[in-house]
Amino acid sequence: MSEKTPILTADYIITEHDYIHTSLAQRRFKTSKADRLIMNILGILAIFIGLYMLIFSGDGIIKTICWILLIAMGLFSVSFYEIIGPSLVRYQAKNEYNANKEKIGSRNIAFYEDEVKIVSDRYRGNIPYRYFFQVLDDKKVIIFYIDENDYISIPKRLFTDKDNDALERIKSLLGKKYVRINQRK
Amino acid sequence: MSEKYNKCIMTIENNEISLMMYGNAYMIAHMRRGRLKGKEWKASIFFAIWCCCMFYMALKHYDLISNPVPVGISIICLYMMTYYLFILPNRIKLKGEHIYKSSHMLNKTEKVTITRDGYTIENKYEALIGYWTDILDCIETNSYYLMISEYSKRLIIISKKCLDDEQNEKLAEFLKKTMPAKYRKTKK
Repeated sequence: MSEKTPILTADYIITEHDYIHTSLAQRRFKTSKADRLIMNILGILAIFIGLYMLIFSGDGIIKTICWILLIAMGLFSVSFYEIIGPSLVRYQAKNEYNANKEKIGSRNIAFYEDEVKIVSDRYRGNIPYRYFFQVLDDKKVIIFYIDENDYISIPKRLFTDKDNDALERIKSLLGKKYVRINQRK
Repeated sequence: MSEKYNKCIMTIENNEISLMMYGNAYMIAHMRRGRLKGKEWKASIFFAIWCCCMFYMALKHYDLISNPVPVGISIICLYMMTYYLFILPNRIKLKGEHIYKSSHMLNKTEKVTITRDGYTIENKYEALIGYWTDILDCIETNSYYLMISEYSKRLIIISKKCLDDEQNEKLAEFLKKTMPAKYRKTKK
């Protein structure tokens, strides 16, 4: 095989923060906007109804407790996708990383015109772009899915402004497989 | 790895994994380490609750209209039993098949090299290297060997179709000897 010039190369090791950002990005992608909207609407409704009934309804400890519970459920619903969910994902990702961190080695990735070359101590691959299942572009990581379950994530901290042209070229090579995740929080 | 300890014990050519095999293996992996773990226990708890509800309704001479709560609970329990015993396993199996279909690598012919310390699985595009110490479970079925790795999400499946009788026996012995506490044989 003749020597090819890579478009972009990266040598890195996945840190705890990279792993957490990857997990958060995957979660963000799986969460639909409709689900978030429904949970937020239901939560706000529950809070308003609970507050209204608490202030204007009759006395009684049991009733008061019920309305307070309704308000609490509303707060839970509103904060689930924004605060509680991400916190749980962070916690789980941190535990998973710490359980396996001795096994996480360095990785070298080189992007060529027709394929991606990946080398680590446990994996070697020359994968054509068309063989990736999907590529997710998040605020802090880019995740290359080899299949629905198996992926390689690249932290964006490796790249500088000088690499923007190369990244745009790679995005064009990926075509429809490239997906930009909603990058709010 | 030092060459001395990296001596090849066995090379398996033309290892091919079919869609059904992967789906089945995915389901078995989940029965050992995933959502299907303890499904029989969970189903039996709901069965016990269902029995209590039926007993209660029998005491009330099956007056369903004036006892809606036990009727509701028994319906839920019936559904949950069906869910754990039939619906969820089927769903997991379909998920496994979906993962197989989404991958361009899993359907490729592989070469598997077994060494003292680990294994290498190679196809035209990639090579995956693993160690026996990473393996959480090793399961032998009628048609394949399945290994669940702690490190990799990918299931390691060696089809028995690409092995002759001698290789099959040698591999089974080797896996039993290398991972005695993790090796299991199932009838599936």
